[in-house]
Amino acid sequence: MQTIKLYIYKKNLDLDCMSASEAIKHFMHKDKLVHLQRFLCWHIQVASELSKEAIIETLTTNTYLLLNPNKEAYFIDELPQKQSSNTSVHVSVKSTLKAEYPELAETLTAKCGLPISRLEKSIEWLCQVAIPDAEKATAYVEQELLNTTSYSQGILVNPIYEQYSIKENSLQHS
Amino acid sequence: MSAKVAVFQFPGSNCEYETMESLNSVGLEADIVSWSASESELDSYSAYVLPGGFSFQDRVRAGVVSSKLPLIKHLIRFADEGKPILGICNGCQILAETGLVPNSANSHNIEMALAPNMKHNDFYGFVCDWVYVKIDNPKKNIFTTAFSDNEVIPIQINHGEGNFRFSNPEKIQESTTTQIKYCDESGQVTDDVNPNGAMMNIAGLSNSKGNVLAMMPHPERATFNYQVPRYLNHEAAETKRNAPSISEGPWQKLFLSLANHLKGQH
Repeated sequence: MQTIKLYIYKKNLDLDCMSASEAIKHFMHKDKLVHLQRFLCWHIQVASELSKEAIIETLTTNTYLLLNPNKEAYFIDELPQKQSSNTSVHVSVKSTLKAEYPELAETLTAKCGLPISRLEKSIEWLCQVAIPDAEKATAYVEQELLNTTSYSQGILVNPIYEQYSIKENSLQHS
Repeated sequence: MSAKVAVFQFPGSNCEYETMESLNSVGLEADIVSWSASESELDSYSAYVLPGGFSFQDRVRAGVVSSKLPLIKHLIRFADEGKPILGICNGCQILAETGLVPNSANSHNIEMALAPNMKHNDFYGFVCDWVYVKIDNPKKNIFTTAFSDNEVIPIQINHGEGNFRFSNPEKIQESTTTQIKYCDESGQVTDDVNPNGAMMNIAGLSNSKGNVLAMMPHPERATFNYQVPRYLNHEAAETKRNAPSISEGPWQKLFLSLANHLKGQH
């Protein structure tokens, strides 16, 4: 049994990400945010001896259910590290209403012949902030972008039906 | 000076003209007002309507980008001053993200959300249908005073994210503010007729002061009788079948309630 994280991103403009970034910078005036990236992440648990690359290749060429190859591309398990003087904070957001997709896992198993036992979805945000200290950068992202308490505070997480986690090992700065 | 109503036009709004026509039908003057209007322009209006549509393409989640616009700061002030504000569908989603509804502690903190539609614990996708609703405590909100208790009213819904969720559902359940609820033809509030998984079958609700109403169904699509489908089991449909020229629809009362309120002020 192996678990694969499939990070999907738009090949061209990600309009959700662009609007979030514009709203944060220009409407909410949170000017420490330098750059924002958004990924849809499938957490795939599969019983197969194949390599992760081969599994993803099978899943994405036999169906378009996980990604549309005309518009989207992907990374497997890890996001590339970019050299930057800013701190990057990696946030994972999951719906509390439904994070698992057993019906889709069944369909993929049937169509691709890979026994997928568990399939979960999350939205991953990479927030690059102009704060050199990693702890302070994380605190800033949590306070200003994630803790959505009022119209002026937070945007990336709905406080009623979503929850987030910050990936500790994602903090990076050169 | 006569009372004028501002109907906002966000990038992606698509119900503003029907909403304006509904307001005009009860004698109210209304303007389509840009989301980037100045504070002084906004100040000149007596009431505000956030219409349906897909503002900013529902990016990130429905209503959230609009809820961060500078306009919202002014709307919050208007709400605090007691001016009437109505949010329909996407407007309802925007009001949820601003904390203007239910605003039970008068803190403008976010207490509710419009989550994606769900049925049987699974996402259900976009819903476009006619449903029945009833209004609890209609006299407690400016927009519903012309309705009576236990009136069963047909209305159209058209949304992908209309699933009311609350941070404190018990508080909402105990609340005596105006609430619009999905029901069947006989007025029974049951799970079977809940189209989107909303907690307590809620389709719309008022703020604690009674001057702001957020509702997912579209009253501007049932303002005139000719908008109501003939197949519905309701007197509006029957009237249409018998005398199609009659124009007053089941939801004109919502706009009439506002007109009566504004008339009393001017």
